[in-house]
Amino acid sequence: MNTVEAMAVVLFESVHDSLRAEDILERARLTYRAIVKPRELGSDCGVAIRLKIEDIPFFMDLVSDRSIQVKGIFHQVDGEWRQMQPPVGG
Amino acid sequence: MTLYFDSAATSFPKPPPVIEAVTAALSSLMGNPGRSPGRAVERELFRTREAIAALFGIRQSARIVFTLNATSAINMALFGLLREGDRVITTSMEHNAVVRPLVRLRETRGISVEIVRGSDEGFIDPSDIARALDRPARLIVMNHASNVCGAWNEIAEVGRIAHEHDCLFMLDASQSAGVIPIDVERDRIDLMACSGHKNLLGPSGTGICYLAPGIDIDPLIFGGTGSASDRETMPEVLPERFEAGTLNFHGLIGLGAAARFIMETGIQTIFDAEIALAKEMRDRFSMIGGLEIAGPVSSGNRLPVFPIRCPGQDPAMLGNLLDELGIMTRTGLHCAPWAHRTIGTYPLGAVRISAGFLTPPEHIEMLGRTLETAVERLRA
Ligand SMILES: Cc1ncc(COP(=O)(O)O)c(C=O)c1O
Repeated sequence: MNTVEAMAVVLFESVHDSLRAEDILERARLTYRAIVKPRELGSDCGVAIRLKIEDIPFFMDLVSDRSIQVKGIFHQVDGEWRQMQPPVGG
Repeated sequence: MTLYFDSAATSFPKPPPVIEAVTAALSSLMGNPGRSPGRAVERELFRTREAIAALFGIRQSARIVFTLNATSAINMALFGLLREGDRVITTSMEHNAVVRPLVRLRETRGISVEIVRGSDEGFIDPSDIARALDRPARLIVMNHASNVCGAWNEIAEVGRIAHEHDCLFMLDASQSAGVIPIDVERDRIDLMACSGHKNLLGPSGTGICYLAPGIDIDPLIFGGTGSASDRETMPEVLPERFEAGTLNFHGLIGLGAAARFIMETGIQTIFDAEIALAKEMRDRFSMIGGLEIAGPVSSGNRLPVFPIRCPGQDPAMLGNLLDELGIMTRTGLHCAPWAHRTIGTYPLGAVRISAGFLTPPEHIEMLGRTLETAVERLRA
């Protein structure tokens, strides 16, 4: 697995929720990066957060009880985007 | 040397952290919110939203919309909410920022407006509001504290009455935000507008409009939000739905620093200081013979805002003389002719002397002496 494939991309229902997620990630001292959403994942020039796949379960724990709406989590396999996790939150 | 006594128009001086935050933003912050990767600007705006939310007990900071001032926030709320035939209750103490949109909506959308009259001192009796609600109404909109005379109302009671009658409650907190503790849940506020540059101690060009969960209104301004750009309609999500166009982010970063300054100082500390200041000013003014003070007689529910006059004289004479003597005040009707009518100072208005939390204490004493001199001269 190359480095790209070790990373997941999280999409959010709103910019505000993605900022709340950043805030939580920062506090939890997880390494992440706010990136421009890859074109294949939608055409709305939104922002996404990229983090290590291994950190995803911890991340989901952090956001789950804060009503942050995650639209989906994706990763690349052989250059193609696959959804790792269905939408959560509400 | 000029002493500043026009805090009700805009606060001065600003707290040092506000100046530092704006300076830092202007000198080293790159980007435009929602339109650049890295997101330093968005994150600063997020911090401001969170700080404002904490100040007013708002659980979802996304429901705080940034505006240019209270006026644009009030327009956004009233034009976005009110529909053909709605009945609205307001008070005779309102600023033109509320009066003019309501009058316009009466002309263009046929809303009806009922005005609850304040007392001679400028207070609103909640039981008068309850009476006006004998017939159903969509909205009560009123200010928390008067920009003309500093009278402030216990709004939790109004919020309770509104909800008992299935009516929405909108607060114009322009004069009170940053001084009087506000909790949107305790006070049952559905919509709240205020400027950021008055007692919130932020820069001009900033304001907020809060929409409680479930309050769904139409946007007033349409345009780019940096999100959902593939769509030709405004996004549904807040705050973007109401924030088309580049925000005054330098100013809003300053507003965030201001809100944190207020939280760190403690809103109760600020409130107590301002009530004490109002009492001190009142005591000083009432010792000056030939000076008439309008508004609340007892200082308990009064912020340090005083409309003063020399009986039988045009207030402009006193205002101009104070200006010559180095005291900055504001003379006239203060964008609130209804309020001046209510407290008996229409049509000439008054000289408004207003102070704030950061007014240097020694300036109060100097003001007292100068005022005495001015009144003596006018009587001579
Ligand atoms: C009670 C009240 N409402 C609204 C406003 C309008 O504020 P702004 O000039 O920031 O739009 C003011 C300020 O003058 C005010 O005192």
